[in-house]
Parts: sequence; C-alpha cells; structure tokens
Amino acid sequence: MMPPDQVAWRRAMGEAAALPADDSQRLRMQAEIAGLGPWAEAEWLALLEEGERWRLELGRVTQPDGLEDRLLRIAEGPRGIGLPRILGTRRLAWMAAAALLVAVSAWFALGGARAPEDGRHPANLQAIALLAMNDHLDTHTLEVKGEVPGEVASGLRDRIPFEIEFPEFEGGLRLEGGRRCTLGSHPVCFSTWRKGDVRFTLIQLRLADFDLPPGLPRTIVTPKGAAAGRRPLDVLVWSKGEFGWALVGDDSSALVAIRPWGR
Amino acid sequence: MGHSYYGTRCHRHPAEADGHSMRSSDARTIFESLVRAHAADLYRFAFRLLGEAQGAEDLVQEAYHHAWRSVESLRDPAAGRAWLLTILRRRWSRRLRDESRRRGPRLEERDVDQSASPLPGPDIDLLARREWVQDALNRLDPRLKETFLLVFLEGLSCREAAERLGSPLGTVLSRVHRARVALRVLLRDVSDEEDAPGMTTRALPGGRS
Repeated sequence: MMPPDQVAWRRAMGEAAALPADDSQRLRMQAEIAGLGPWAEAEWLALLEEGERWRLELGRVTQPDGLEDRLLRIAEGPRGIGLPRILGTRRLAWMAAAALLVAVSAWFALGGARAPEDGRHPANLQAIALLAMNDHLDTHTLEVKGEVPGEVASGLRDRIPFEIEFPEFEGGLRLEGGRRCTLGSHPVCFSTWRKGDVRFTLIQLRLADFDLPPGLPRTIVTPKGAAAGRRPLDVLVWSKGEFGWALVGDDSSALVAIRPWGR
Repeated sequence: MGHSYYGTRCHRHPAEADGHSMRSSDARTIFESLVRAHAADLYRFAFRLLGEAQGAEDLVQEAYHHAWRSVESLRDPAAGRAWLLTILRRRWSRRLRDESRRRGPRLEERDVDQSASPLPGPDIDLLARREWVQDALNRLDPRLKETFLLVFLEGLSCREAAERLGSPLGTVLSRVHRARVALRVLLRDVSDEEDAPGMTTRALPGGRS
C-alpha cells in the first residue's frame, strides 16, 4: 500500500498536470516535486507525457464522408420555428421500424396471419421473418449489454413479461446484449450476437401471441417484400415449448451451420 | 474564426440591421460559416462522447438544427465554437437524463476510493493501443468523460472548462484527475479482456510508481 502522503501527492500532481504550463498552481507543484524524490519526478514526467498522448489519441477521429454537406442542407429548412425533431438517420430508422410494426400489426389485425397452410402458418412466419430481418438491418441501442446470457436475461427481466431463454448455439455465437422490442402489441426479446465478423440478431417470441403452433420445425424463411435497396436475408426460425426464435445474420450462409440446442 | 460572420456589417449583429429579426441571407451565411469552421470538431467531440459514428452524427445534426433555429442568439462571432459545443453538450446531457436504460459498472463508482488501493501510474504502452482508447472511454462515467474531453480534446484549460460547466475549478481538477486514473484502470481492463496473443508491450498492473 502506498503511504498516505504519497497518495495525496500523486493526486495533487495529477490535478496540477492538467493545468496549463504557465499556471501558478502547476508551477508551484513543479517547484515542490524536486523535494519529493525521484519517484515524484518520474511520475510528473509520465503524467505530462500521458496528457500529451491523450490529446494526440483523442483527436484521431475520422469524419464521415459528406457530413458537412448534410449539415449545410439544414439551412434549406425553415428557421425560428419548431422543426420536426425526427432528423437524424437513427430516428429515421426508428420511424421505418415503427412503420413496419404498424404494417405488421395491421396484417395481424386484419386476419392476414390467420391463413394456416399445412399447419405451419407460413404467413405469420413471413411477417416475423420480415420483422427480424429489418430489425437486424436497422441500428438499435442495446438496453442491456453483456456476453453472459444469464446476466443479460436478468437485466431484461423487468422489461419483458416472459421468461427469456437464450439458446446454446453450437455454432459458437457470442452474445452482445439485448433489449425489449414490440411486434404489433406483443413484446419480444431482441438480442444481438456475433461470430467472428458476422453479426446476428435473435428475436424470442411467444408462439401463442402470433397464432403459431408449438413444435415448429427448424426452418429457414426468406422474407418477401424486403424494403427497396435492402438485400433479403434468410431467417432461421425454430421453437421450443411455448416460445419461438428467429435468427438472422449478415451472412445468410452462416445460418446453415447454426444448431440451437443441437437441433 | 478567420473571417467575419457578417460580411460588410462587421462587428454589428445582423439583427440590428433593421431593428428586428435577422435576415434569412445573413442567418444562412452565419450558419454556413459555423458548419465549415466547426463541424469536424463537433463530430470529433460527439464521437468521443458516444463511442459510435451514427450516434455521433445524429448528435451533431441535432446540435446544428438547434443552432439554425436560434442563430440569432449568437451575438459574438468569436464564440461560435463554444456556443455550438454548449448546445451539443446540453443535448447529450438531455439524452443521458432521458435514458433510463441500465449501464455497466461505472469506474467512478469502483475506482474513486484511491486511498484503499494503490493509484495506478501512467502507462504509455497502453495508450499506444489506439483501438483500446475508445473502449476505455465508453466505460468511463459520463460526467468524468465530458470534463476530460473538454480539457484533453477541446484543449480548454481547467479554468475554462470550469466556466463552461458551471463548476468550481477544484471540481474540474478532481474530475480530470479521476478520469485519468479511471482510464488507466479501464485501459488495463480492456487489455486484459483482449489479451492479444503475441503482444509484447502489455503493461503490468501498477505501472510506474
């Protein structure tokens, strides 16, 4: 343990090192350091070097292409009155997601989802696959971040009114975190995973909420009606007990190798 | 700023020209000057605050939208950068307040008890791993990060930062110091997690002391 005096000095040196070179407090500190011994001189120099390195490193940020042009276009809008606050691209993405949810909700409400064919309710699966794909392609903030499934599930417990189960993937996917999402009026659990450079989105839902029967076979669904400019991505759907899961990844071919619970 | 915002009416606010509101052309000129002069700096600050590109651009766009709506309130051309940065920080603070989502453990909470454990000294080797810098910042307490960035990224003196934040100088000095200590610990955390095989410059806990 460091002597209390030394702790206090290190703190004082740390504060003084953040001051400008000609600041009187810093100059006083520099004058006192010589009397503290070699450790203080070494620490002081290291502090100054560290500060310079931080200044250097923090400035290394690449500006996105076209930012200035996008900002200049703001002046094309009206001034001095309340502009719509829905401005950023993230918000636009959320708007698109909300519009999709409304559309899917309407689909369910109008009975479009109640057209079972051979007992597998493919219309529902299509809607769920489409939602999963769009959710995957949009940018979402994770409410709970973490790699430990139990901890993430615990963090989301108060937000999602059913038991969250994260699969044990044989394909070696690593959990990044999750959040609550809503499909129509039904809550679902949204989580993101990663395997190497490939990012995956997993959605857990209650089968009964979407009029899906238990015992869905492990199925790969290609969503129809993907938004213009978006590449269709396959969605792996399966169920266990009362729950269903939809998994979509940046690379559809990776889905083939995914074996949740070894199925 | 190397040029006047107001063209031929240098040192005279456009709103004074007709005694009423600023003309659209004046407002646009001022706004464009603000974009060209400060957009890159604002983006850099926002990126370091948020740790991701899309969120940073959204925040910068919000700040400039606000600036466009209220450009008449900018009375001193030389204060444009500080004015924009204040808008950006306030919007970020509002986001922080609005976000009730849970966060991971804050370093401020687990590292401020400096008397109980040895204070880690500076370790330049860790800072040399650039890819870890943002990871460490992302885990830093937001208030410590804001103060730290004002000093080490914006280049404000601690006294200037104290004025901007409306805090006593001692508070700012303390925050900067705590941020630096916390970042050392966080960089070590990140390095331990990465634990890159073959890396030869990994520092040992304790650093120089």
